[in-house]
Amino acid sequence: MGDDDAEITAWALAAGRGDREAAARFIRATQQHVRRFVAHLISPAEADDLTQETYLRAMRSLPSFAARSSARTWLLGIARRTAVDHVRAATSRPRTVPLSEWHDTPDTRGSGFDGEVVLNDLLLALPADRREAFVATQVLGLSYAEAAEVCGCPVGTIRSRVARAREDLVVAVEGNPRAIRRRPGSAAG
Amino acid sequence: MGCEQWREILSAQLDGEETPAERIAADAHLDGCVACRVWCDRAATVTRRTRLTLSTADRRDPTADTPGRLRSTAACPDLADVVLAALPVPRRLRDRLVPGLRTGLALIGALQLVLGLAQVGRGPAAGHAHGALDTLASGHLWHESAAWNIAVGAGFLFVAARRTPTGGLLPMLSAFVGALVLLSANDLVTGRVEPTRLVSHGFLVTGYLIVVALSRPRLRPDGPAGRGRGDRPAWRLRTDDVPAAAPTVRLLPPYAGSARTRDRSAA
Repeated sequence: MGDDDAEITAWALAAGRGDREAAARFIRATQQHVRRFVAHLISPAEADDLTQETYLRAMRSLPSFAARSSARTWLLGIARRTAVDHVRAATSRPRTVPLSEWHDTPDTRGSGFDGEVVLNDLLLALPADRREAFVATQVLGLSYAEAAEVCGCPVGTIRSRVARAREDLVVAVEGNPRAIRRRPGSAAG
Repeated sequence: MGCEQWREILSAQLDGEETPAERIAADAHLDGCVACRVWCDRAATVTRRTRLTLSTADRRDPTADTPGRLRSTAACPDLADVVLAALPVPRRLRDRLVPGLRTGLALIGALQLVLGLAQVGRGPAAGHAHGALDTLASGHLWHESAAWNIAVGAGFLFVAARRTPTGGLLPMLSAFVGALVLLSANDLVTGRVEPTRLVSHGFLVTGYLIVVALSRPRLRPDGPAGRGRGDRPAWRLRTDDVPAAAPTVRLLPPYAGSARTRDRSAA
């Protein structure tokens, strides 16, 4: 992952200087990460829009990207802010999408696991700060230090948020054992 | 230390982020605390399940008990083209070029203004023999040319400061610069002016070229100015290029060769 990171950061720097080829590589190398991050922070149904928004923001600020952190965590930080802004905008106006529809997109995720849907529900039920720490470290596989950069908080905060998220999930799973049982062949939902 | 804090350490341990000292202490605590042992098992199960079902293909794997690659992510559309297409291509060039040109123009305008004012103050006898000393002693002509210098400087400053389209200034400046160049060349040939005197016209010519450059459609400041989103495509639909399709004769449905009834009103 270290080599990857160095390469991605190099692409980001080149893209900041106006190299469109490097920008395309940068996007292709990171888009799955970003999509997963926002899908689990907000909802899979809105992942594409939010990913696109993230990249549009990132491209605008790429010229000022100075590689103080790796391009991947820099980008995920932008994704996180995009998600936060999205939530803020969504709560400031009446909700038009009923909650049940949020998870009604099994095909786009190509999932064979019923558990994924349930797990997703449980994740989305977590408080936002715990969810982002948990998703960044568990789903994206970032280290605590990287997650701290993404979330803009101290490493210790990430550590305690991940632990709280685990506690919440343990409690939630006890009430919903389907989340850890695999049920192949069943339709999602 | 309460179980709450131990569980934070246990959680860190699941991610491989604990310190060696914490690991030893936590192990000791687990030996004595059944509740935490149960919790730790469950947390590990949840973690494993989360990583199995939700994790990415290329992530690091601190506990090494989950297969890294579970399902392909090929179903996700490639955003690179979409995002790049949404970016304005000429924006970077424009953003760098236009402010530079504009500052240059402002400098030249200011210089031109100072030159003109100095010319007013100095009078024709003080500095350069402009070749007019002999006959007319032309104080007024000198002032007139000073006024021109001031006017041109003011025009340059205006264009630089206001970001307005430079269109209206172009014909006048073109004629002025063109005439001046021709006349200067003529004067140079007939020896009526020193070459050093012509150097000051260099500012004018440079400023003129910048104004021409700024009036190029791609650099024109009437686009999304400054820090706007700049999302607009670089091309524009020129409606006047499209020939107005207004055929004067229109064929009505009973075309030649098609079957028709004799009475057209019945058709």
